[in-house]
Amino acid sequence: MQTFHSSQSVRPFKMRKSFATRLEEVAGIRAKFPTKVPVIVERYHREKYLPLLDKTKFLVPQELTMTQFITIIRSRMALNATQAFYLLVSNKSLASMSLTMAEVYRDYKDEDGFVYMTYASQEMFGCLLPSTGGKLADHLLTT
Amino acid sequence: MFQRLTSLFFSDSSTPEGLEEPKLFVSEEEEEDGWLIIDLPEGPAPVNMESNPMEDLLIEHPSMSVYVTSNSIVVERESPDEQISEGEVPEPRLERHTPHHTTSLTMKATILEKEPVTPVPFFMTSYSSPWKQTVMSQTEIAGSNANWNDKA
Repeated sequence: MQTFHSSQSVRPFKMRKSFATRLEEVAGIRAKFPTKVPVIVERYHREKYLPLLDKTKFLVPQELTMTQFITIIRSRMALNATQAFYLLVSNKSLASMSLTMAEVYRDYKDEDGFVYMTYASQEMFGCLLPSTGGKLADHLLTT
Repeated sequence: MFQRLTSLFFSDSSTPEGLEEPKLFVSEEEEEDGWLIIDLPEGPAPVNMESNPMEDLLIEHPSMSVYVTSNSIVVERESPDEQISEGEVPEPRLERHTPHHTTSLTMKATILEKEPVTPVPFFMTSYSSPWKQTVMSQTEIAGSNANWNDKA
């Protein structure tokens, strides 16, 4: 399981599976769950402070809002109160939090049929966490 | 006593758990071929984003504001009055008693008028005033009162 996670962190979902395989997977899961939206949630490749999710593929209800979805992701990452993150949709967009997943899927779905979301930490209070603050300070001093 | 306390503590610790269960949405999680399936609870929609028209009535509209109306009236009516009194009234101590003045002034005036102890000085009738009513300041009335008493 751990090796799977580490390999997942190295190679994104799109690289691990061919376009044909992904198309097939979407078709299969959409046939099985027609009311659900297939979402791929991955960590930003340069993210250093947020943990990896134990799951990448999410099947979410169409009427779920982005807010609710972020809450689910947040609870799965078990973040503390000082940690914040944002979800980048399709590697370029910040979707409105009031959008439903159906709307997000309609607007941002990839050509393979998945919606790709990337999460990255958002700096709060102008600085990073105390645990990583030392590292950041070092980094700032060297640069 | 301690048992009660501990039971209180235990019940306290157990109730939040019970309260946490009916969340805004319950994500029932199943796994299927590596997929995490999230379900909303059945029943009425948990989020109703539409606003009730009644809510609009609770929002104060600027045109209905109590503060705006009272302020605007005072400002509108006071400024021309001051201009007139500055230009036409030769006596700075004379104050015109009109309903246009601020409430504090009219209150003062009515109190002074209704005071039973102070009779109207005799020279006020001979005083040729362009105003219907003249109200003197308190010190002046007191002074004239003393004069009246002396003469009597």
